[in-house]
Amino acid sequence: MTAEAPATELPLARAEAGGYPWRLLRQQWLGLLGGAITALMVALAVLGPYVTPYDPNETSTAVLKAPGGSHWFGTDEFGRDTFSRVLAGARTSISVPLAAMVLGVAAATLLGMLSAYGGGPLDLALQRVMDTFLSLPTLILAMFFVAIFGADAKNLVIVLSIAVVPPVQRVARASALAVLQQPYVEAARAVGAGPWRLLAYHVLRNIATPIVVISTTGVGALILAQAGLGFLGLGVTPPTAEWGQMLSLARPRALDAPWLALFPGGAISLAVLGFNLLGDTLRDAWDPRLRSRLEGS
Amino acid sequence: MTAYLVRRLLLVPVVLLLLSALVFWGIRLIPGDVVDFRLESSYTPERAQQLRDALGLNRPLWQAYPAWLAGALSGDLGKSFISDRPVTSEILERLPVTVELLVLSLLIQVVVGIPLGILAALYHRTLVDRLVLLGSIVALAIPSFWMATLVLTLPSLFFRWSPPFGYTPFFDDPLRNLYQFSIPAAIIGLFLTAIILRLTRAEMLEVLRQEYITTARAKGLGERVVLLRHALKNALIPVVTVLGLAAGSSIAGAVIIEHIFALPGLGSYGVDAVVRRDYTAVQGFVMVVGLAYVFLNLVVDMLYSYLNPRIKYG
Repeated sequence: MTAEAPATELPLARAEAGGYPWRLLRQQWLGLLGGAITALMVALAVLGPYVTPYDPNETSTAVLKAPGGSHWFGTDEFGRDTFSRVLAGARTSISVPLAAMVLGVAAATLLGMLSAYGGGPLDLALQRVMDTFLSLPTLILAMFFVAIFGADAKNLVIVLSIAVVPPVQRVARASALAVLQQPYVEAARAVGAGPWRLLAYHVLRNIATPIVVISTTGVGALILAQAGLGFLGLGVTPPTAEWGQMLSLARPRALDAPWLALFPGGAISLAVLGFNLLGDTLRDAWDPRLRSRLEGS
Repeated sequence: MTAYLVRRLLLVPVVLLLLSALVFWGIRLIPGDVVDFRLESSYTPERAQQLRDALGLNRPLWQAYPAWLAGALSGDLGKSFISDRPVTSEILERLPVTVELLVLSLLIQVVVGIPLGILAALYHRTLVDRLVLLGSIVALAIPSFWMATLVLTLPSLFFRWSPPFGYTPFFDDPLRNLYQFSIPAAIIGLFLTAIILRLTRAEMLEVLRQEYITTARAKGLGERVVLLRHALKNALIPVVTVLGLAAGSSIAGAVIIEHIFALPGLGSYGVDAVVRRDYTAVQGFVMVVGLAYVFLNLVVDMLYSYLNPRIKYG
């Protein structure tokens, strides 16, 4: 497919759009819903552990209680309050993918711009390395690096961000290639801007939008990948609450205590749904042409 | 186009070589000595030496990598740390399960996703369309392992029926085998069915707007012919590329679902290998998945350029 062609149109299309994205965002209730869920999830990721009704790791004699008045989501086999654990779980289940996205996107943007600016052998070598990382599905790549580095929260962020870099740097590179051909870049160069100033000041600003959009769309997939690792027993170690791991621990008891499986899974789905809706809407707002292709309106 | 295909073909060995390097050197990035770490309680100097031999750790790296690569090229991926059996034969034993799972899952994605996509496009902006789209949005947000847990739990709570568990080889009892595989395959396919559905719908809507559709109708062709011959055929071209990607990401789906349904496939092998830190098995598993993924993408790219000769590659 022609990677260059649409990229050349990017800066122009955006300039013409003006305040259009925001108006569209106001008209999109699904996007607003997504934004609300996303805001809730981010708030939980920051505040989750502080607003729980019980200590998420505190055991009690109220073992395997069904959801009810004092325990909204019931309790697990150690008498821990599931509602508190779901709230506290956001700390890992949301923050880790978000941090991985930020870290990965920063690295990808830098690499993509350098690849586009450097060109030649540097570009060739870097892109082949990226192809190599792309030759594995995200989850498998993450499993491989978890096998190497082990899994604590910090390592999970690094592992997931490694999976973010290749596709995002492709977008950054393609957009940067297009921007580098613009007359204003040439003008900046002519008045003596050095490579760093050129990239940071002129290129970065003009490729930021597509990168922000593609990153938002990708958060949902990262939440799923991190929960998947947790489910396979390759995530953070217990007793730290994490939704994927809670779900896997609930599995042997799912018949007697289905609520243990219901709520963490629901939390994952809700979070992914929120980020997906927000990402889709941002993408549509940024590129209405794409919207007509995907939504057919 | 030929130049593109030649370039595309030449890239395959380069990427595979880099992948093998990643897999080989990756294991050597492990902090400390793999062998000390691996043996922990059962550490004896002889056992450590044996493991270092197996991994090629006591050879200088510039010798170890070519030796490992030559082995891998001739199909020898080394011996498992745990079972002491050749990783290659362990993988080959498990491959049929995963392949069957992927084929079934892909079949479900095509048989469910494409017709639903067409349906939604034909009833654009009606209740049918909205329901199908809503379903796809929900399906995209449900993790496969949650779905699997629910499928294994809810029916037995409400209907006293639970899905089949375990594994019967296809040639022992084809019907029992298909019965066991259908539910895991459907769960793997759920996510991708939603993607294929959305893409089919969007492409159909796009194509139905084209002038040649109006022409076909104007010259009096029946709606069936217009839809199937003219519209669908063109709408499905982009869907083909997604199917290739789908097969790839189904591998990741299979990893989790095989683990849950206790199916002895490549995916559960990979999970066990990572959990037990069986490094030779991890190397072999990652190498085989990468190989499959690279070739799938190659086939899709070729198919795509064959189906749509107008595509130019930059």
